[in-house]
Amino acid sequence: MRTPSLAQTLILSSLVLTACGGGGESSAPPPGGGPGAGPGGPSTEAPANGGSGASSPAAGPKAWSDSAGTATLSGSASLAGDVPAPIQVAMDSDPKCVEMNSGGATDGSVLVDASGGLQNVFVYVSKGTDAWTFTVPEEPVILDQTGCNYTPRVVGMMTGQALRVQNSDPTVHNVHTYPKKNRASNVSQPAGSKPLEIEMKRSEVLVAVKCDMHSWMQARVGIVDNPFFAVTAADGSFTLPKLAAGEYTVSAVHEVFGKASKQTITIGDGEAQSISFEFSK
Amino acid sequence: MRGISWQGLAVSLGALGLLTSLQTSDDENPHARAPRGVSLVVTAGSWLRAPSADWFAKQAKSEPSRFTHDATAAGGVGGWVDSRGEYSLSEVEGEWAYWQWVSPERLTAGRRDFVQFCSSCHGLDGDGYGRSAQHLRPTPRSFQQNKFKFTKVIADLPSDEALMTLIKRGLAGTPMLPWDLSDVQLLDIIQYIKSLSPEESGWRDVYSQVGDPVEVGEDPWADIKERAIARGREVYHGAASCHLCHPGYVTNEQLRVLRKDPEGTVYREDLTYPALKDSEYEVLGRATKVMPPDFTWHQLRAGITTADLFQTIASGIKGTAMPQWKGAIPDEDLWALAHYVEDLIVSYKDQPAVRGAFMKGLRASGDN
Ligand code: HEC
Ligand code: HEC
Repeated sequence: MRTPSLAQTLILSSLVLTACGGGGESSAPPPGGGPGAGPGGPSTEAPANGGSGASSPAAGPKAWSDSAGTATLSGSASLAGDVPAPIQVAMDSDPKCVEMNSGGATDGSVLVDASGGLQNVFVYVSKGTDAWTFTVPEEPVILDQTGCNYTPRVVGMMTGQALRVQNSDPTVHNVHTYPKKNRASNVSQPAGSKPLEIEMKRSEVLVAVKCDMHSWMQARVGIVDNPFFAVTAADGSFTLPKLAAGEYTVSAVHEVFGKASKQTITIGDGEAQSISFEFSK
Repeated sequence: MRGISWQGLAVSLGALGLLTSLQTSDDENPHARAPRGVSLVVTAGSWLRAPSADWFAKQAKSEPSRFTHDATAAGGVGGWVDSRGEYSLSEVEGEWAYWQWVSPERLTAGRRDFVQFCSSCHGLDGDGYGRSAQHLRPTPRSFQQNKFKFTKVIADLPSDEALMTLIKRGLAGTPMLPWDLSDVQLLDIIQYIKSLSPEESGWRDVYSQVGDPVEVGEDPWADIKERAIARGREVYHGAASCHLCHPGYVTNEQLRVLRKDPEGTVYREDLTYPALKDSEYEVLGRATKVMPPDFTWHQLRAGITTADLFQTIASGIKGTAMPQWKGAIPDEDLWALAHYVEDLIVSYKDQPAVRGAFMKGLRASGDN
């Protein structure tokens, strides 16, 4: 857990209070991590784990334990209508990319199988996890650049977890993120560079990652406050194992087709349920 | 005493169509005072991000009686306490965020000068759509996007000093001229600009980092310029491949050697021209594209000394395709690139005949 301890938060807020004691009546409260932070402060958008919860410690959420997760939600995403024809991508600007895609390359933004299953849909629990706090995994989520494409194209991670972007290609890339609620960055990564670690401190679905040197290269990152997320496989299927019994809102987003309508489910201990999301062009 | 904020007023005037008519009057005076009826008074103060722990410590050094460092605060991390309450800090997830209180009086002073000197281009509320903006290329910056191109910082946001240096220098070849205002005036304008940050972003975002321009340090090639230029040319077309966006300044033949590509490799057809790229800057809600400069032709905006170029290449240009190179390639090579780009400018820019012959030579070289 990376959230400050209760003690830290309390000491901090007393510090802040002392600090603005002389500020006069007109001062708005300063932004800060403590309870009662003013407008513009960070606590209104508490990042991972539902924030410090310092204002009501008694009613606070419990630490999640995997043993509570006995229910399984699975399902699939599909695209209505005809299967779109693949779009050829011209990689001529960088012969190294052409070389690695000798069979020709197609655009990976829309991948639909013969029965309409839609790949690379980010599925996540958007409501219903407030009763728990979750430990942010120490290990980073890996986004690799191979053959002048991102692998995988869509990844999910928890708020505060690191995204490790590595370059396995014999050419240079630049890793340009386009967040709206997190820090933006654009750093180049020549062949053989060490990986870049990017942190997203607020939940945001989906953040685009692009390479400006190779305009076809795009990835998406879904950042959520809980560990209940998945990316649909080639046949459009997904599984969220280890849910606790309860009522949840489940959302699904695709980089081209946007959001599908949300679904609310109620699931009991040990149960298995299935839902489906339909996207349209 | 709670007056309406000027933003609120501007919005309601705008909604009535008043602001537009007021704004279009007085076209002959580019630095006209505020249109009548537009308030210059800012009624609410603002907590804005201050640079860093180092910066905070510097404040403390100049006024030791005012600041105390409490080493036991926040679980032993330690933090500064300002007895006057103008600076504050908070901890989020083990990191410190530093804040500065800017009073309504100070913002009002900043707004007055901003409206007088800057709003004709940058807009009355800093959105980049001032009276003269529609005819300007490049378009004036919107201060509501919290993105700056040429401040040469790696952090998300430029420090006050970084902005002040930029405003005093202006941006060569653009309508953003150098401004000869006093430091006090400029600092007030800067606080005002910062206060235009939308809620929870930019200078109000606890996670954003404020920083100074990239440190210049010592040029390792100072006495061996020729070698620097040769090395720069190698990196430019090799490991860094700047020619994926900017023009390449070599023949296909030479590029194959520099990129270590096999015999017969073909590059983009328009190798000696820049490639248009997406940017995050919006005009009327639409993202704009920007052209990477051709160093033998276009005017660079953020300075053309070796040190300027080192800083620009190291930091990248925020919100555009031009990435940060600091950390990606060794400083020594950053300096070599700066020498190479400088040499391209000195050798060919503003010398159409020499440049023409050089480019023609590249384009005509057999397989180009
Ligand atoms: C004549 C029009 C004009 C006036 C007046 C003007 N600017 Fe600008 N300003 C511009 C333009 C155009 C740009 C964008 C230049 C570019 O993108 O290359 C700009 C850019 C800027 C930037 C952004 C630089 C960056 O790195 O992105 C700042 C900061 C700025 N101006 C501050 C000011 C201040 C402060 C004043 C008043 C003292 C002022 N400007 C007056 C036209 C103007
Ligand atoms: C992914 C595309 C891309 C790559 C790769 C790239 N640049 Fe740029 N560069 C740009 C763009 C776009 C601009 C113009 C930004 C603007 O003016 O808004 C630019 C601007 C510049 C400027 C001009 C700044 C000024 O003061 O006007 C310099 C210098 C520069 N680049 C150097 C380099 C060097 C050296 C490399 C290789 C190490 C490089 N660039 C690689 C896209 C790129």
